[in-house]
Amino acid sequence: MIRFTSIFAVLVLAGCASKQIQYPAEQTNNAKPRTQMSNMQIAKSAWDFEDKDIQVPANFDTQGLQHCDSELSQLSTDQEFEQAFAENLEKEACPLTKKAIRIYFGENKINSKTESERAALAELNNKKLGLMLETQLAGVNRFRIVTNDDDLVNMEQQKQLQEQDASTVASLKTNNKILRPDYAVKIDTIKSADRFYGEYNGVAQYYVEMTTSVIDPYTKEKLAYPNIGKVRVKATDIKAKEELVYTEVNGKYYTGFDYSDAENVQAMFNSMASKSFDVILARLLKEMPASAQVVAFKNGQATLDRGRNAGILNNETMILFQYEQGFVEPIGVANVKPSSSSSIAQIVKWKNSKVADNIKDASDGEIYRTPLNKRVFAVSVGIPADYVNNRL
Amino acid sequence: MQPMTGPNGEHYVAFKNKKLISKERAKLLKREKRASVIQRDMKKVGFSVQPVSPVFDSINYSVLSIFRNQFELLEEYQTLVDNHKDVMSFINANEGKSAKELLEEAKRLDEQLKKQHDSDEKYVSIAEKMKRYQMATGRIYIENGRLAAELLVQGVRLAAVLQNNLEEIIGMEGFAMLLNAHKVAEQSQLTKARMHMSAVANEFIDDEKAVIDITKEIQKIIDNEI
Repeated sequence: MIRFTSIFAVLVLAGCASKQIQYPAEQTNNAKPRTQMSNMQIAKSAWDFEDKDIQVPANFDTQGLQHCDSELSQLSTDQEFEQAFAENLEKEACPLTKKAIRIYFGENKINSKTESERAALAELNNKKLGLMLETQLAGVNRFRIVTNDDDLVNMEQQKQLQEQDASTVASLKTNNKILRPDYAVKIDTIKSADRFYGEYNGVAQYYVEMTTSVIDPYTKEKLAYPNIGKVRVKATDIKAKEELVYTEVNGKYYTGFDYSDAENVQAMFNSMASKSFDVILARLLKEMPASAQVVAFKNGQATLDRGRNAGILNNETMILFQYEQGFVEPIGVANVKPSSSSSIAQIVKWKNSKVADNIKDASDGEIYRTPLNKRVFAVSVGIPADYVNNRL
Repeated sequence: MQPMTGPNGEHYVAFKNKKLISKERAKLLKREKRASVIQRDMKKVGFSVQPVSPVFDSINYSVLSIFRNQFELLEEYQTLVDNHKDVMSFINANEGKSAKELLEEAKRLDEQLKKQHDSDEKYVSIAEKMKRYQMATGRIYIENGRLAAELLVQGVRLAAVLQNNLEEIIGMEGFAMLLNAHKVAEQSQLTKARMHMSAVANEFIDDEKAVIDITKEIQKIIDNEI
């Protein structure tokens, strides 16, 4: 007993003498590099939102929105309005100014042992893929696309030259300048073909990895934004595994997925590339959300000052928020339908907050405009499900 | 039996004035060579038994049975491994077909593949492969059945232990002492050599079986995880 007491006393003394132990700060976790395939992040429908989900998404850009619309409200006719808007879009300060880009596809980098697959990969039509991506990107209106489709452009000009009188064509040529790309967008891909045989059948494993970079051709700078990251798609994302299973007898293809047919393999890679584009598109829309300003509220509806011209897609899910001195106050979630240069937002759910209640009450039965220093904006949350279902 | 080191640094197991391949060296050889060397050395040891005493003989006969069994199976397992992938692929791809339909399909496929065949090696038809595979499976079945019957005839329970735990028994001091106790040097030497070669052959067969097992495991991965 005496011994215990003395040990206790020593411990207490030691405790008094030493300072509190300082543990090193741990701010990171160790993890293995990911090799998961890329998925699309699709916006939830506004009807599926809960109160906690109504938050302002990342990358919203309200700074400088006033530069885009300063003179718009004074204009009377639609034509004037649109013309002024088009000019305004060119203003550097306006975040809605769309950059012109030209898309390049990197060379076909091939990782495969087999002749047929190597041939298929080498044949992959980069130009076609590039044009496909151009079309998809043009549709979402985040960039202005300078097409690489020179064949078509030349053909059309030739035709017009034959069909129209020369002076019309000449004046068109002098009055129109080819759009100058601000940036070059380069898509680099790695494609690998790999087959894996078990006891009595094998499965063809194809992978596509894509990275997208935005390059300023005059400064050679690769830009940090938009950051699409790396997109990985594998064959089983396109086709069910059962369709990729094959058998070999005496070292030759026998049944199942015909990897020895170069066209077959090429078709796989084409659809994988196309799938990668879908992922790129989804990420781009998350990275560069569409934003607009609320003009007025009335009975659960809001009118927005921008539409397709700012890249708002049909049935876009948008978060409405009040913006004041850099602080944001989410007020609700809306399902938005755009027209060419304005939109109508159906507010599906109001945020459970005082600000939201005030606006809701004020707009009940009459048109309500928020004060200038407390303007309300709308920002999209991602690629709308409607777009994925009907356009991809 | 302890391996010895020869003048050139090679490992071997001495048997009378002959050299038998050691386990370690057998493993280093390439598959084809390994099988042929094992067969050659097994023939060196031979298949005869000199009767000594009833109890001792039964041990010797049991060991001989195992030895002969391993000798016969060596080639059969090789045949299995050589043809397993092709035969299984063909049969699985044609699941549900009757024997006649299978044969017709094999004929059709052989004609097609023969045209594509461009290497210098002789084309072995899938029909032939299936025949070889079937025969090998049959012989393994018969050989194993015969071994079981022979061991039963010997009536020595030890043999059953030997069959299943060959490795452990060989390492057992007690067994060696049992053999030495009878002081029938020549026959005990012969039996020891047979046990050694049986173990070497058994390792080869195990490795061959492992190839098939591994392809089965890979198949599981393909079926479940990709």
